[in-house]
Amino acid sequence: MHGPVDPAAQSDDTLFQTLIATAVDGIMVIDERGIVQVYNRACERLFQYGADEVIGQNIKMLMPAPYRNEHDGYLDSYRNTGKARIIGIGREARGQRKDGTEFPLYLSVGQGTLDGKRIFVGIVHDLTQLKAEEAAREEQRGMMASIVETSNDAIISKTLDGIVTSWNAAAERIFGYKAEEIIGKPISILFPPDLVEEEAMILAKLSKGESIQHYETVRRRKNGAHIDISLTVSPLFDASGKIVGASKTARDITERKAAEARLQLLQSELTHVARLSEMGQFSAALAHELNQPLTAILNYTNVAKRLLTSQNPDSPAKTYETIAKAGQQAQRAGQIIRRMRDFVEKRDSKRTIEDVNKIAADAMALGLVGTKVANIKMQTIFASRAPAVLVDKVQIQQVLVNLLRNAAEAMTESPRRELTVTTTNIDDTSVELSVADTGPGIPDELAKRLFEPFVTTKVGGMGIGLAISQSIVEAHGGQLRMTPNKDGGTIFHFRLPAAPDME
Amino acid sequence: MGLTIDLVDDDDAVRDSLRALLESGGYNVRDYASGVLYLQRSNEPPGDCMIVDHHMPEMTGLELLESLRANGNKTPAIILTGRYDPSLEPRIAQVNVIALLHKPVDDEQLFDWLDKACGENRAAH
Repeated sequence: MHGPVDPAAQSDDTLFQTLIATAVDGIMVIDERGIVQVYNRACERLFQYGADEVIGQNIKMLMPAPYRNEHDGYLDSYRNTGKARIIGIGREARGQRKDGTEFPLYLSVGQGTLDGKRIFVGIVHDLTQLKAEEAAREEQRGMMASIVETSNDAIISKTLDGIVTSWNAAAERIFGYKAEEIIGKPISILFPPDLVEEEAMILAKLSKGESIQHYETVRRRKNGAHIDISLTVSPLFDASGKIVGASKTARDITERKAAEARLQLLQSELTHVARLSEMGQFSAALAHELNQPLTAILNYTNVAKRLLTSQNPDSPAKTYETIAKAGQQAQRAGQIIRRMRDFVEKRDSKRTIEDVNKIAADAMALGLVGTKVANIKMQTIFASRAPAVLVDKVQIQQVLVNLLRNAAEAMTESPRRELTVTTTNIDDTSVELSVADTGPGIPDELAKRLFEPFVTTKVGGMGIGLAISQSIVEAHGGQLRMTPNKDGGTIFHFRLPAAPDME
Repeated sequence: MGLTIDLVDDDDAVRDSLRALLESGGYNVRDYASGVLYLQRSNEPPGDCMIVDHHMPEMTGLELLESLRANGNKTPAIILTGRYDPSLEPRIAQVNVIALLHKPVDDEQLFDWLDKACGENRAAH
């Protein structure tokens, strides 16, 4: 088959030899039965077999099972049907070295005719290095994914339009949505209605490339419950440095917030209890101090009455002197009362703008701590839209606590024990607070003197609480009044003026 | 000749007004501004009855009576108090008082108790 040597053909032949010898990729040629005709040096390196071991053999020796056994079938099938699996295309496949080990390769196969017979040319590119790098990257991705999945914090990514693109297990737990329920949906479904503007603020920061660290806010779970979270949001960049989205880390701080709230409540309760005992001690001291001039006044007036009916010639002068002394003692009592008012009005009188309903709710939470009366049905009827008031919150709470405790004690012997606290909006100019009980009520003769010191229906009571409460309410521009409860019992009520409009 | 009341109260106005009231009822009154002053009085014999305020600095009315009873003084006594303190009741029972009256005291009530106290004293003598 070798004719006389044509110089041009010889030159082509040399080029062909050089080309296949120096090619980095393996080059081989097989006939249509699969017998190897050409097998270059790169192939020797890849498969470890020398050319002399392979040329003339079936190419399937270079393939691992199961391809090894199927290859003849492919060639037969192609010959008979013309249906190609690889020819003209190329695909990933596996090779087997002489020592039995396998390696990944990319095989492209072309078809041609030589001396009237069909031949196939295969180019083999070693994928070992590429596959190892890919596996390492895959492993790292898997590790990152498992870190994200096992994190206690919700880790979420979203586009700049706020569409959720990833959602980890903690996110499912914290927000209650499964990944498949929320990926592709706007993140705004997590926002409570009053916080929807927050997303605009977050996006504005992100678009400037800034991140948000430990921002404490509130989100809404799937079941509608609100949760406190601490949010960290960072921009995500693409390869060209363009911001394409954001990653969010959200930590559930509901428990921490609840603990903080409990602590705060406890602190304010302690303040209240301290205030109450201060008020109790103050009342006792005041009662004793007031009792002295009152005792003297009663004695002097009794003496004056006796002198007026006696026959003693000194009587008029003595009567005058005694009445004068009684007057001095009345003045002494008046001074004590004034000192008390100054004390109540001046100490800590810190006026702030407050929500009446909140003051009332706080007072109720504390008001009955330590009272011995059981089974009281507590009720609130709060105005849904009450104007804010400018008050000393602690003083107003003292008044309410005092009224609540009085009410509870008044119901000790009552079969029906209902305590109702009401706030009513009076034309947006003032708010009325009332405390109603279902106790025995207050007899008329006592009702007239109820706000005077030392007047009490309670065994062992000081009769000073209402007097102090009245002076607090008066200092706030109101008047504490009592009216009978139409269902039996008593209602105490007072109005607080609405705070002046600050705008 | 009238009966003599020993009056112990630290408040000047209360003491002065009680003295006037008792005198208008025909009693002789010796008054003292504290329990210590009463104990320091000269060897005068005790009066027919004592009226003692409980809430006094230095020595309370109850402490004064406890001290007198410990020394064999059996003078009938009325304690006046400005505040109710049930925890004192057992001690008050020990010092044998005719009455524990709350300030301010109704005059008729006070004279009724004094009659009773002085009557007991006469019966004892």
